[in-house]
Amino acid sequence: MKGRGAAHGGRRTTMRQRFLILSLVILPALAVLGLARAAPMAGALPVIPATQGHYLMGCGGCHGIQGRSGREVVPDLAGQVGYFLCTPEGRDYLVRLPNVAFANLSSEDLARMMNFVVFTFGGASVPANSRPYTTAEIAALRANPLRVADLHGYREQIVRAVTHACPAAAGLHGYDVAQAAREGQ
Amino acid sequence: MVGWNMKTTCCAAMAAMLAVPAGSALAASPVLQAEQSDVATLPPVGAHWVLPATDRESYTIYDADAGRILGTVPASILGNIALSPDRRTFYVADTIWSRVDHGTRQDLIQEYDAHTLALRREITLPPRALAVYKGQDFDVSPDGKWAYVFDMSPATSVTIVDLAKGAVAHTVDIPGCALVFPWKQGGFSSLCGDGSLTNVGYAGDKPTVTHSAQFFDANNDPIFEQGLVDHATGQALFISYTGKVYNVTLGQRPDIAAPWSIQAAAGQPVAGTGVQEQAWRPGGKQPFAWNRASGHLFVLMHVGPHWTHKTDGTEVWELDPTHHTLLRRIDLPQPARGIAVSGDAAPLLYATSQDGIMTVLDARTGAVRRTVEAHAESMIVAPDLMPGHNG
Ligand code: HEC
Repeated sequence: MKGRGAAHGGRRTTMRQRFLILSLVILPALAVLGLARAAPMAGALPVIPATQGHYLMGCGGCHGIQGRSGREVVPDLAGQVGYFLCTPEGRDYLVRLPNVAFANLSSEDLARMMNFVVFTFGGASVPANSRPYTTAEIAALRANPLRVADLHGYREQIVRAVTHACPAAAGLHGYDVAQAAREGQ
Repeated sequence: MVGWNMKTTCCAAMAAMLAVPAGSALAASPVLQAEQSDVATLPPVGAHWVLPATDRESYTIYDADAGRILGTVPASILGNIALSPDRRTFYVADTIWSRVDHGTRQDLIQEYDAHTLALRREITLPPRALAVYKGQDFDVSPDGKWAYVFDMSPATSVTIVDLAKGAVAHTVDIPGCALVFPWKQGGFSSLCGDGSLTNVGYAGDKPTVTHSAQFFDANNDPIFEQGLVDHATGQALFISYTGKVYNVTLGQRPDIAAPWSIQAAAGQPVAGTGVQEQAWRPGGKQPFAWNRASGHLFVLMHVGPHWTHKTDGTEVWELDPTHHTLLRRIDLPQPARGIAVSGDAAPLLYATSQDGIMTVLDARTGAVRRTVEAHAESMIVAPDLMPGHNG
């Protein structure tokens, strides 16, 4: 492969530049989260684990690289997504959301990513003794995505039951209230 | 002057100046006359009118036969335009900030009289999707009663506007789906991320929502957002990145035919999804157009591997979507990023290029009729003149 000519070398540089740009944006945030792994070689850049990579590529644009977003525009995942595990419907809702169900990932990879999202971002909001999602559970849920003409109404219903079971979850309502104001309903 | 926007006035004045024969300046010194102002009106919308988005501030109305500007309709880079089926109104869905680039955001439909270009009415909207020049973000139902505005907040929904009342009637969430493709009557469909269509029936009360089976591979061979609808029949053509065409009759239960290949229609191997697989492929920012009179599909084509779906086209291929045959390949004088075609039996083909030039070609021969320095953006609208109306 060595010394194959200018075109090949040029392309390699572009790829490396892209990786650098990606790293600059993502790594400080991961370092904050304590996700950055020890570098495989002295002086080399830290490696982003595949699961976090899947999250960053498919979800981070809307939900923020640390699971914090505009909050009123996209609900925060950090510190609150775990509350949905307080009810069976809440648990299902997280995977039946089309953005999750339609993810370009195998059910095994999606299970890993959702466990990362819920247990790592969710942190203290996850109820004690919660089970992680299994591949089979994810496969069944994503085959039945939410098809509702009033998704915000549906979420509000889920959140009401979740708040009933876990009163600490009341902050989840902030998103519904903001959405209703935007749509003038 | 009443009802004319500044740009129109200035262009009209310039056109008047240019109309003075060059020789007349040499004649005896003119007697200056007091200027008389009046309000010009436009004739009914013509078959060869075309509206490129221009300079990120308007749609300019051209008479492509005469090569003349007839007027301009103001619209920002985020604005979409639609002509009412009775041809009497241009609707522009737009988003404006109180201090141009910041401040209070206002989403609205502006309603312009198609004869005088007077701004008749403004309808306030909830936040719509902000996309640069995408016709599929906004449309009017073929009966002229409803406007459909695609929203992405980033949760996706469609705002249905009652155009008689000038008010929002309903907002329908379309989770995981996007854009609007109106049916012949009573609703619209949207493309979904799992490769299906969601179908929203709405006649003024509760919406009915159904889903088609999955029919395309959204991850490996997605459908272009710029699918086409014939408003008179509710027929749609959806085209995938590799050049598969899906003929669909839209409705609560859409009828989706097995796809056919543009390349196969041209006697070439079907294009695949290889990242190094060179083939003729559809591409550009507005790669498709549909001529009503012949039913023929026009596609902007280039040579490239998979995932070059935004590359400018060097040729336009004319295809018969009923018989799945290639009828003509038109070599463009310069690569184009968007095309449109008039709806009549003597069709004109319009192509816009990176440098803002709009080329007008005879679609039946491929001959260049005119080259216009139009400051054209990628979007270009040839009004879909439905039969049975004449404005
Ligand atoms: C286009 C923006 C967008 C993308 C991309 C996106 N989401 Fe979301 N997500 C949202 C919005 C908006 C909601 C709120 C649900 C609604 O629409 O009512 C949401 C809700 C959620 C929720 C439920 C939280 C709550 O409080 O309701 C989870 C969990 C979630 N998303 C995970 C993901 C994951 C995992 C991915 C990547 C596979 C992803 N999202 C991609 C916009 C997005």
